[in-house]
Amino acid sequence: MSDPREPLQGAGGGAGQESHGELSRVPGVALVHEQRDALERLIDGVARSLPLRQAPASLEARVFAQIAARPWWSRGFAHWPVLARVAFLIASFGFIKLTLAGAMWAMDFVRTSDVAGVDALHRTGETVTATVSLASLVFNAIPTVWLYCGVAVGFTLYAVLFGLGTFAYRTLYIQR
Amino acid sequence: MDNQAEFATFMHAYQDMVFSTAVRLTGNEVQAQDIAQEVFIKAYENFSTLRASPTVGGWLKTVATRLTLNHLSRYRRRWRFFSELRTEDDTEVEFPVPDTLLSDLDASQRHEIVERALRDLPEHYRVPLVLYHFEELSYEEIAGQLRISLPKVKTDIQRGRVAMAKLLRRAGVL
Repeated sequence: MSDPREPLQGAGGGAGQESHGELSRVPGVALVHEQRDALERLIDGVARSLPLRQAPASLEARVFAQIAARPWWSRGFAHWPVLARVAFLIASFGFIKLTLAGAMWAMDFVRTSDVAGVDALHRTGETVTATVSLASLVFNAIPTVWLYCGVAVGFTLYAVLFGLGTFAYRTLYIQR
Repeated sequence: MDNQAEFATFMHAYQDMVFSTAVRLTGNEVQAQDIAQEVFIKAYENFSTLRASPTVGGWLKTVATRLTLNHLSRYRRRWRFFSELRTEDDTEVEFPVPDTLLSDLDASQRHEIVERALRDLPEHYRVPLVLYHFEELSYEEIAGQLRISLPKVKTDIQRGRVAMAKLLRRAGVL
């Protein structure tokens, strides 16, 4: 397998670090590039020389215990108990039949009902419109200053919680 | 050979590789064991197709990497944010870099020191460094996996190398 990785072209990827050509003739810059290349070679060599970490002896037992503890419905259909498989097939056919019957009934209903159906639709539409109007009225009644204050309080609480979470993460989690 | 025995043989062959990927990325053995367990449960669910696959090693590595990154992802946004803020970190080493580690220690001691250095790296350096040098992903692939920009990947890897070199020097093997 060919190594898909490119050679180091300067970490940071900035324009000033990308070109080895002209810049590398400047003594200081050439030294930086040499150091970086040497460091990359070193870490690469260290990584390649490192053997695999040995998995804990308990891993296999844990995996098999979890496999054994899985409920039957989370296994493949072929591994279900026979009764469960039969019940599932019957239920599936029943569901399909029910869905088809429901679809037929809905189509019949749409075909036969005229004024009554349209009226129900109108009533639902009016209810939705009235609810939206009421919500908009309430929203408009709130003074703008209150809204800004609410947003500011929300943002402040978010920032405080974010800061606390980050502090806890940095002090408790990454120190482990 | 029955299915369970065959799967046990399969696990013996690959468990060290899966565990190594997870433990080097997380820097935490307990979390790595949980992740390795999850990887092998997925492998068991797909064992009928995997057992005959010539690319099973790659599949396991990919799943192990993906699950580990998912595991770390809840923290990733935070460390990404903080790694952006940390502009004072060095991108160069101030000492000459040799080609190899000093060899007055035996191999197992050196390996232990390197593993410890890797574990002690901050997560935002360790993850891209391990993906590049251990998992042999390209810069572009790492940028895609971590959803960060290519220049940032390069910077983090370079800073990770510098931090690692410093840890190795402090441990006396550089």
